[in-house]
Amino acid sequence: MKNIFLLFIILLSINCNSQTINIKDKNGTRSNGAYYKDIDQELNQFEGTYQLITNNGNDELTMVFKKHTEFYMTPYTEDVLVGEIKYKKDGVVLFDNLNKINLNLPNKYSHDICGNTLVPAVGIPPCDDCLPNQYRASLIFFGRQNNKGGGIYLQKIIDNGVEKIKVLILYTNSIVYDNDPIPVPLISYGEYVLTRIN
Amino acid sequence: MRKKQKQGSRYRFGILGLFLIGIAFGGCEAEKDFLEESDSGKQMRRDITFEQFKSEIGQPKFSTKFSLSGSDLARSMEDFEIDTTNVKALETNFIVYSMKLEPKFVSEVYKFYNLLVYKDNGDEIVKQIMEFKPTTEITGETEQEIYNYLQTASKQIIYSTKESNLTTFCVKTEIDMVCRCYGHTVFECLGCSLGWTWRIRVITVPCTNGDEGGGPGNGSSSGSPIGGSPGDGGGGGPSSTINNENEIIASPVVPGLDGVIAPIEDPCVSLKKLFENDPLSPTIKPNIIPNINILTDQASSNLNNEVGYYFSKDSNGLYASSDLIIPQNSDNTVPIKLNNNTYAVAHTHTALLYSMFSWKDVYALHELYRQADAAYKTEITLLLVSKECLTCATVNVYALKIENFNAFRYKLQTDLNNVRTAGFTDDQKTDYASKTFEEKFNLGLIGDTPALEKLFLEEFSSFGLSLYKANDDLNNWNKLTLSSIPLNPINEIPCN
Repeated sequence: MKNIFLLFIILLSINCNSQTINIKDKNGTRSNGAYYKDIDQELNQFEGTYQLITNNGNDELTMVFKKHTEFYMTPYTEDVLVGEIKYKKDGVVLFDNLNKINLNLPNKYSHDICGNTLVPAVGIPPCDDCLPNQYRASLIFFGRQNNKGGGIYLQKIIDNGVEKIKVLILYTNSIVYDNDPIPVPLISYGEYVLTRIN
Repeated sequence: MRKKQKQGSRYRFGILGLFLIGIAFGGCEAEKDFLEESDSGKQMRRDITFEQFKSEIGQPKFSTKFSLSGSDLARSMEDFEIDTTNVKALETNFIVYSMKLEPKFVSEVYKFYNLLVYKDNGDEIVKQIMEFKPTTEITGETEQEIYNYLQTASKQIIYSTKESNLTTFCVKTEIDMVCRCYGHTVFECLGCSLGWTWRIRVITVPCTNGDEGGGPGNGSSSGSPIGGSPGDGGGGGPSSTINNENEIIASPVVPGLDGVIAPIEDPCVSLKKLFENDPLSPTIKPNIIPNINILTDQASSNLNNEVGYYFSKDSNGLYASSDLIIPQNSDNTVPIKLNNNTYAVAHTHTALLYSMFSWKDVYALHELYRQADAAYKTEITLLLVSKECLTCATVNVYALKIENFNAFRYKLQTDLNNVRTAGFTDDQKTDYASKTFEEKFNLGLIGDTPALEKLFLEEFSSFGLSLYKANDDLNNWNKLTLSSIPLNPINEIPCN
């Protein structure tokens, strides 16, 4: 009986050390041992492959997103949405990392896009056509092709029954030392509407 | 009957306990002194206790804690503690003591540190911290993959108490993996029944006579810089000083960069100078008001991209400003260009994002300060001109000043030291930190200026950073501080 009681106390203490936090409630801090969970499955809506083709097929922006649950890297666990990009400009494929989406990378932040921040309809960036209870995803775009990164904001939309995604790309300042070249983004900042193809 | 069962239970637990203790002690066989024949020649290697080491080196009060100081910003934040359980005396024609160091801040998971201690030919004790840094992102998952991967790790000396020996002392590395059984000291995994993990152990081995370099103090070797012998994949690192005190160093306190403690002027005085103008000698005063007015117009026009100005001061103390900086077509941001003449940067934010300094702006201020000539550091300012929201009429002019650089960089280093971005570029690390900080502003704060100011101050005001807002006439500044009144969370204290 005494041992059972001790076991109970041990299990209870282990349980007390873990804490599940809805990713909607993230506030810019992280708790050791916590699990930042997509409790309302909001990230699922963005999964899939989306594409925008313009300029008679010479320009192409394809993005693929996949959700990973319970990604642990010390000191906490989190559900994340990761993404990869193919970008073609004037007929030239500048980069194509779509295949990386299926790699089981130990660090999910090694993908070109990763994150799990959810932005409410009234949040920033401003959203004209968000439904009142709609959440957007705010992810980190690492810009590994030319070291020019920033944020990607995703909004799911249904246009005449067709699944689409609005992608807003906003870069963060580059810090340029002395006469180093200024990194120039390969994909222009701004909003793109991509159609789901897979 | 129940008593017998109880006794039987106790007996079984006793046996189990003895069994576990037996396993533990069986696996924890103490390492003995031994001779080792390696590819590089005959070497002696002894595993000794920390007490034995102190006795041999003649330093009974040898500190186990180290704080670094020097010109390398990233390094000068780090504190280390010796792993006193793993001390090796490495002997050829001299003795080098090698021990593992645990950094207080783990900037990258797969980095390892060793402390080397030896006496030079003047009988002075030399201490060197060696860093082992993987050259590529780790990809392996199995023991063998990780081991193979670590063979490619580079290494360098990051600090030494004496520079003179850096070029005359050669070491090689061996990397082995030992099993760590939870709750016990390091021992072979065989028999560990309590859960275990592989632990990577890096040890340093001095070169023998046949290798390049030579012993410490020979002073004439033309061997490679330490850690840079052919095939090692390493290179000589910057030298600086180890500041070891026989006491626990609770928080790193380091002098100003390059050992210069820049004079700190009252930020209010410094900021008010920005508005001063001498029409007869325009370059004698900063006179940034015309620039701020242009930025205000730009911010009001709901541009989707930022614009900005760089302000510089030359060696004769004359002020100048750049032309309006407009980002390249595909970019929405103004690059923060740094050189030692730039004392301020002003930029706008678009209404697409929140009307407050971003984490990356704050980092830019840090870099601006770091790059500036010591004499100008007190003038270093980052300015933001930002419309409160897309449909708002008000445009705010903010300034950031550094009041305590050590506290400030401590904060930034803490934010940057994240295992999720280990091995990433600085830009990628700052993008991660920036996005994490941005989370604070996600919850519907459009146009709520006091709330934005509050969130910013809560994050940074305790770390040597102060936030100011210009008045409408651009002739004075208000220092913003946190108030204890929820409905009025910001105090605005006018500069005199």
